[in-house]
Amino acid sequence: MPSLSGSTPLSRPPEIETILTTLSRYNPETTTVLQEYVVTQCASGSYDLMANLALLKLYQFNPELMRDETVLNILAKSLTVFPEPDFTLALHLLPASLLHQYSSAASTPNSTIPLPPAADTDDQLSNSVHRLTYLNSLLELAAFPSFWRILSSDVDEEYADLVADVTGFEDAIRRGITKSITLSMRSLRVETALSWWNFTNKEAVEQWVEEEMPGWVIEGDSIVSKDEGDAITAATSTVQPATGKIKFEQFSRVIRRVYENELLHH
Amino acid sequence: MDTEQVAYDYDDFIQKTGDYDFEDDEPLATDLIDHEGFDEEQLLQQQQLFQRQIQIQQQQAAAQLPDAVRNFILYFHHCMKENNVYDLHGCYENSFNRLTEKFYKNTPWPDPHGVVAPLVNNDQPFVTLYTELYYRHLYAKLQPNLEDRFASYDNYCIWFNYIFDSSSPPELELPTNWAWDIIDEFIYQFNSFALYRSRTVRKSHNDEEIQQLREHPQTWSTYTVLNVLYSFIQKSRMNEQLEAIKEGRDPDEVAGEDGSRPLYKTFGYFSIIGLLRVHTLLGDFTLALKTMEGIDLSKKSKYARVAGAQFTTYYYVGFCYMMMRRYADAIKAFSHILLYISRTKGFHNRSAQYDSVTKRSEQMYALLAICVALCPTRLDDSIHTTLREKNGEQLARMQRGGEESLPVFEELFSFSCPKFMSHGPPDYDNPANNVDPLQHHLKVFMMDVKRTMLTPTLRSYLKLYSTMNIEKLATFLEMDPEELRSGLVVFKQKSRQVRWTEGSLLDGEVVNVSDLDISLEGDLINISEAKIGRKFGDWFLRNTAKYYAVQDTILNKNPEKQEEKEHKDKRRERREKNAEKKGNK
Repeated sequence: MPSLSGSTPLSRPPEIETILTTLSRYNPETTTVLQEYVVTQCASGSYDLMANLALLKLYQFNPELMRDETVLNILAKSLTVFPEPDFTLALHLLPASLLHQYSSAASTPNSTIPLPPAADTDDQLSNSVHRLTYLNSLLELAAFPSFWRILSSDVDEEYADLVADVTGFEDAIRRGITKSITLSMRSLRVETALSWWNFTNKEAVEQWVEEEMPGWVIEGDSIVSKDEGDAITAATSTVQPATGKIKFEQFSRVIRRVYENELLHH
Repeated sequence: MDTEQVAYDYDDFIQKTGDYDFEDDEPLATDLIDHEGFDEEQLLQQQQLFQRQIQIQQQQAAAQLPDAVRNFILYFHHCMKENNVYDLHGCYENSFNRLTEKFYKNTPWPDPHGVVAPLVNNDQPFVTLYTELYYRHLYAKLQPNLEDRFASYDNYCIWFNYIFDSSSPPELELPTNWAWDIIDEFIYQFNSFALYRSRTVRKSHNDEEIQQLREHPQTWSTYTVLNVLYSFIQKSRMNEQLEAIKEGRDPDEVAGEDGSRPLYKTFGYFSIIGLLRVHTLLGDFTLALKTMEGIDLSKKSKYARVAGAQFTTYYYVGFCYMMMRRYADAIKAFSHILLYISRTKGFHNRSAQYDSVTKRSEQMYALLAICVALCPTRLDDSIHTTLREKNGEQLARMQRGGEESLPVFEELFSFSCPKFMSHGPPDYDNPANNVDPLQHHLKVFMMDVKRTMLTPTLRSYLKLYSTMNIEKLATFLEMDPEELRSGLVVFKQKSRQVRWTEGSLLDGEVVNVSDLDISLEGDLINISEAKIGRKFGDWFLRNTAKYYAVQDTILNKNPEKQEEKEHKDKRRERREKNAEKKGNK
């Protein structure tokens, strides 16, 4: 579900709308209402960017009211709408100290995929934010197999814990991945699809394609799009013709000049 | 200092903004004399002595006042009393700057309370306005210390209280650019104070100052600033008025009694832009753009004539778009205002704000370079040329991608971003814990940039082919094919952005902004490129006009040049003759 930042989601209750459109968005007491709304979003699968950012702003103004759990849930929720920039926007509103020690680990040679963040800091919240930021990086880089691997890692179960509150997290991520696939591809080998969606067998892929991807079918060992509309081939290379139309007014200077010249020379 | 009017937590804030009724609050005057522990006689004597001393001081100061300045102050006061907006504008725009250049280039103007107040019989509103100018000059040309900062804050409180006095709203009408400058300066001083405070806590060992800062958390607090801006907007019902204008109705219908006054209208409108700025400084880019939703940038309102406001608006709007990854919109905003600046260059040379305009435009060119590197777009020719002049080398490095481009991004970003600040007071006890907000925002921004490092290399390869096998491309790039597949997905995603078409600033639709489009079929990459034919018509016309101008110069349209030319010709003839003679010998 796209979250074009300005639009109002249908799921937003009226009291939240009031908070966001009046000065009560600065009232520290509203944090309780907005926090509960985050819990609702996590449970029901809805998503409201503006409300979440408003809550983060309240935390900015009243640091003593900040609840770690809520912050982490907001971040986890914004992962589900990737590739929208929501996660980044949330990061901007967090206290600067949380990210201060995050280092985007240098990737191994010949690989664009970064390594997980280095040693832990003393602050539990910082560590969690670092982990979520790393997950976001993987999603942004479309490094989906790595994403699933880290998420289900036995070595560091923290990752799974961080997103546990968000119901339907995995499916939401899969939908995001589906969007990326339909955007950029017309066919994809089932083998790759398995690792991208974190499915274990071909039946799961078939079911997913059937339910979530209208216009796509399984053909042999690939999933294929049957929709001709988006086909990009060499034929779709366009050369916009040079605009041959020039408005007459643009000639006015030249014509006036020529006219003056004529007058002078007679 | 007693600053009860000021809102320093939410309760105060909502109370002040809610009913903007400042009647009940005490004025901000500081007592000069401590009344405790004195008996009547002594007190009287003390007072008299003190008054006499002040009088002597004033006389001395007044005697040193140059005549031109004294006359200016009196005339200025006169204009204000007469509510003569036109002359007031002249005073403000021209005379003040001229006198500053002449007498007060590096020193402060005469002290508001000691010298100017007695000249105008302590007319409080005028003194407050004058004090505002006094401090603005001080901040601009000299280094304000902590005391100055506290004092200028108090002055603003007095001024805003005066305006918000609903029992007798001032009949005053200020020229629009002065009103804008007041709001602009107010936020600038707020920003400057926050930076000064964090610098003091982090670096200086001036314990006394730190103590003072600790004791006055409400001075220059974010709540106060927001309070002022929101109050203006509410009092003038600016958002309702803007909505009415959009729907074609008469704004005065919804304006209410206060909203129809030109003073409130002007301040209300500019406060919206002020909020845009404050929210951006605090890192809330979406809210910043949302606050502007009433304003239609494509319409030319009468406020659009205030150049300073236009520059600020477009700079911050462009910056917010950039931080939201809407690079196409950011480029449009920057190009628009840069074109405007280059076309009105003649005007600004004479204005006192020439330096700040130049700095702003340099910053916008830097941001434009960043956006173009992240989202290659065709720019308007003149902008493109200037951009290449100013940031050509940096642009080239950014466009090449890879590790070497990252420091350039960081450098340009740090140079041109707003002076980010954190909301509340710093951690006085553990100064090391205070992280510079600029570093924070820079870091988050760079995380985005790092993810697009592969794109330029990809582009260069993809442009060469119409189809390509993933394995083959992976060999070229020395990458793992599966990772390349992910890279291509990212490439495709980056070419899709939200672009504004109509409605409020946050609206938009997802469009393809790249001239290169790809589609993967299994292991095969299909590439399509959209080439735009060159528009030669416009180019030819422009050059024809230029040619005529050159022709004019050569022919006798320009008599001085003609003389010079004749002179040169004669000299050349003589030289040639001499050379001939020598040759013949």
